[in-house]
Amino acid sequence: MKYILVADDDPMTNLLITRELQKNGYGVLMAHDVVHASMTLTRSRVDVVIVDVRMPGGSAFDVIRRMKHSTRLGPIPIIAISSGMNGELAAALKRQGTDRCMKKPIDLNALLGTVMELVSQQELTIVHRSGSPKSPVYIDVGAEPKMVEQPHE
Amino acid sequence: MLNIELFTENCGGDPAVMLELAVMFLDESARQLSAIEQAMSAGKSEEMQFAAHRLRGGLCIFAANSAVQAAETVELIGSNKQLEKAPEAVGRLKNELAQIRNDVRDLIARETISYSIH
Repeated sequence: MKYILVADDDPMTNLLITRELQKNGYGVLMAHDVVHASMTLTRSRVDVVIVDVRMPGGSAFDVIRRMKHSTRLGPIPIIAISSGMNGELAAALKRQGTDRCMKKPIDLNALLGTVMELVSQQELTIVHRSGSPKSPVYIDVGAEPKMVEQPHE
Repeated sequence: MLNIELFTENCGGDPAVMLELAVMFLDESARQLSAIEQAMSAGKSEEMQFAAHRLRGGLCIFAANSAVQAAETVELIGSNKQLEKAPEAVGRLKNELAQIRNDVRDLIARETISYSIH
């Protein structure tokens, strides 16, 4: 199962996103502030982070900065959400390493599609070396992961 | 006024989630309004801004546009530290919120009946 951290102090948005992700087979970890989000990231396995820009104890920028300074957490995809999302804010978030930005109220279909896309992109970056000799190997070649056939032994 | 079509859409068309959110909204909106009033009385503009921001988030899900605007005004007043403008803006927000809370109560009653029939 893939695990998504939903960090938002608004319980209604948390509930909405959590129900949608759970319905579609994802495990959800919730955090209501920056400290709790950071603790969850430290202690648990997380595959994608959904973080509200404005939270008690700081902002999404604090969470993103901490993640990007960590070897383990750095590669985890990040989706930033905000009711005040605009081009300027999205650009600033992307400069910090955010993968996607979305405006509240959240379009649940779009969010789910984005989570699925980011999870599969992340899987493509893992080099699979197990399995039969004919099984494909996925190699991260940068922005656009390419699939190559594993050579016959 | 509550936009039921957009609210349904925002909840992914799931009646159980709609009902859960509606019940949560009655509790959460009362809490945030109380926080706004307390912050206003205490002259704490940042706390007022934060509570208005949270309230706005919930109102967005219900697509209650005029209430969203009223919350946004209070948020902006808090952000600009113009507390002298707060009483009028908070008064307007309270009126908008009273309307939307009535709509949400009606929605809960309808959905609960519909649930018990099915």
